[in-house]
Amino acid sequence: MSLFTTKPSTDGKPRITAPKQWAWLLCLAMGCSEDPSGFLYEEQMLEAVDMHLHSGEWSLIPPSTQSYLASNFPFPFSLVPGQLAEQALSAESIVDQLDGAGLKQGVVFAVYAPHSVGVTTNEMVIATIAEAPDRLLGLASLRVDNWEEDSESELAALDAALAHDEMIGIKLAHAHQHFRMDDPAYYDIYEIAAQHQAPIYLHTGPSPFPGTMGAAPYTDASFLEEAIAMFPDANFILGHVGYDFTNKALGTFETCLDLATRYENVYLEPSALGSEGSDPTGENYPAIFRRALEEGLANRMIYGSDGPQYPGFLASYAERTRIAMESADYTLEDAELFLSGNFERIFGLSR
Amino acid sequence: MKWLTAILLLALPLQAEADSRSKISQGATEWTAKGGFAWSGVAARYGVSPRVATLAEVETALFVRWEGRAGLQIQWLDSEAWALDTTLALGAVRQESTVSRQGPQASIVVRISKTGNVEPYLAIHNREFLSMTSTQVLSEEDTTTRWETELLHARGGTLGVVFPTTKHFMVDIGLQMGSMDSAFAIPSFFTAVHWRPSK
Amino acid sequence: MIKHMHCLLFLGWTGCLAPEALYEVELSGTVMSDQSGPVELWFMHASRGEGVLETEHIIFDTTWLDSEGDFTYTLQVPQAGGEGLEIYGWQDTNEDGAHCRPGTDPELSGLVESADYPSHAIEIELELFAECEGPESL
Repeated sequence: MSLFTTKPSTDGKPRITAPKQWAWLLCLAMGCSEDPSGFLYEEQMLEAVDMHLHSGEWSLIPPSTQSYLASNFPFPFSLVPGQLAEQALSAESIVDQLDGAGLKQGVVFAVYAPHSVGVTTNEMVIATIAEAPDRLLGLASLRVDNWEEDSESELAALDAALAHDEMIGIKLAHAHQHFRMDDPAYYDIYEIAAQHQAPIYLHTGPSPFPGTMGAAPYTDASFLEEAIAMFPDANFILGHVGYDFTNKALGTFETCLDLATRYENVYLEPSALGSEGSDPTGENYPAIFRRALEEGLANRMIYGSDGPQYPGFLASYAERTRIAMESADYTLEDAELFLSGNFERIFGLSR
Repeated sequence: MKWLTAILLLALPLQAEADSRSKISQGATEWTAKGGFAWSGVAARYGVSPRVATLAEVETALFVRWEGRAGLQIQWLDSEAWALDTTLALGAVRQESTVSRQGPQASIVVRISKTGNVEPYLAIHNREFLSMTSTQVLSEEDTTTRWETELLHARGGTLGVVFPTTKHFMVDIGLQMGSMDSAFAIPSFFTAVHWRPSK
Repeated sequence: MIKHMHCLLFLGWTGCLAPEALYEVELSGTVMSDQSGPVELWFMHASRGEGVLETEHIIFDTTWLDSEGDFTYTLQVPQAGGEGLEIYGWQDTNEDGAHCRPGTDPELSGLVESADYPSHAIEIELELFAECEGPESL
């Protein structure tokens, strides 16, 4: 989970960036809701789904990550971060942001990452969705701690969560959850995914959050290839497409692209990396769209933001996405696929 | 415009004979209580000479961050039209929260006001805060403490207006913008009451 | 006196915020392996947290050794970071910087928990015996 994107200043400390400052002020002063009218691209209103959103509770975030997040809140909210975070992570606030960005729906992630970003249980996600069932969907997850003893019960819990109609896929984050991408002991997860026809979203690339694993077997999507090949009936969504958030570089993006080129069941989701904090020059995000087009992968790209982050983030990310697609000469058809078509196709949702 | 007119109308009938907010007479004492978002606090000033006053202040942001300071205010200009003063102060910061901070702080405030019954003013501030964090290393031989420091600043300005309500009381309303701990801060607003028991 | 009482408003700050406490450990030991090559050691708390946030293998420091064999290292263990002390190691036999990159030969790894911690001088023996395993699987 990344509640707030940041960029290091010259002294290496994360700093909230200028556009976010005004977003904070404007949204606090005037509110951020607009009527959900759609995503404007090439003078057409398109339907768009944000497949990467977070909810949760401040108390279920480890202290080190709480400090990291709080240091990115503007003063004086940094003094009472829990209150602001809880409000931002609520269903009401998420839907407000969807409206502000012209997005039809959003997908909220369950997370079981006590090492790093914290825990948002499947039950919490289901409860969040229930507050706005026509606007929110969810991805289920499971604990992988103590796997040798608890795998059976955890897999059963995952299976039960996927029985809910609104839980349409599985979220995994090897770097946050501390398990290797190439460890066959966890492949039963993909078996369940295939049985439910539930796509699996996997975090790829390093993460700036305290307590995350940086080693290659936990971040480099090439370590997923064995699983991708073994489970052709399961769809693997490579989240953040291997982006290096620490150095604001493409990282192992080409590895993700290569996997998508060679395997039909691989999809690409460029969330978070397109924000002003993660791509300050604005060059990396369009480059990803451009490369995907060059490799004929417009039908594999899926839109996600990694919000809600800060007030107005979803709208800001949508706007930067529009600019990136235009820069990469995305046609209307390409944009439609990216914004909702590919998502609805692989998640089996009717249009 | 309407609210500005209301303030002026409110102030006019209460022609106070108080000093301007900026200047305080020699031998006079002023007490201040301030409340608002995010800062609250109390302060005191004492005029040691016609142009110099000592001051002490304690303020808190949401009762989580506490700052105290003491210093000197020097009146450079006190005419019928304008007043200009500078306040230099030393103090300390203590913040116990998810992000904790502590350390000494030096500040300077330059304030210009349009003197009159109603005094609009602009105050520019710069506070340099030396944030100090300590680490204690317990080895077999002994326990050593090492300190790391980081210089942070709070820079910005306050736009406000002071008007007297009685002979001894003045009301001060202000909006403060700027940075805090070298990062963007949400603007704050306050209302303060200044009390001068005697001139 | 009254006119000077305002000075009393300046309150001195007595008592600082609690410092971060680090427990120093002079670690020595032997890394045993049938392979050869650089070894990365991860120093971890065995456990941390309660309830939903309870977890294990919390990394607080890492270092590289030029090869298997004897080593010494000075650790500063964060006291607030968790309980216990574990050392995980993996051997970068092909020196590509990654543990068992797909398409390469298996590289060994191992995990040991110190029974002596907390102690300022600890000796360990770390055997690298498992192929391509992270600490979560050992």
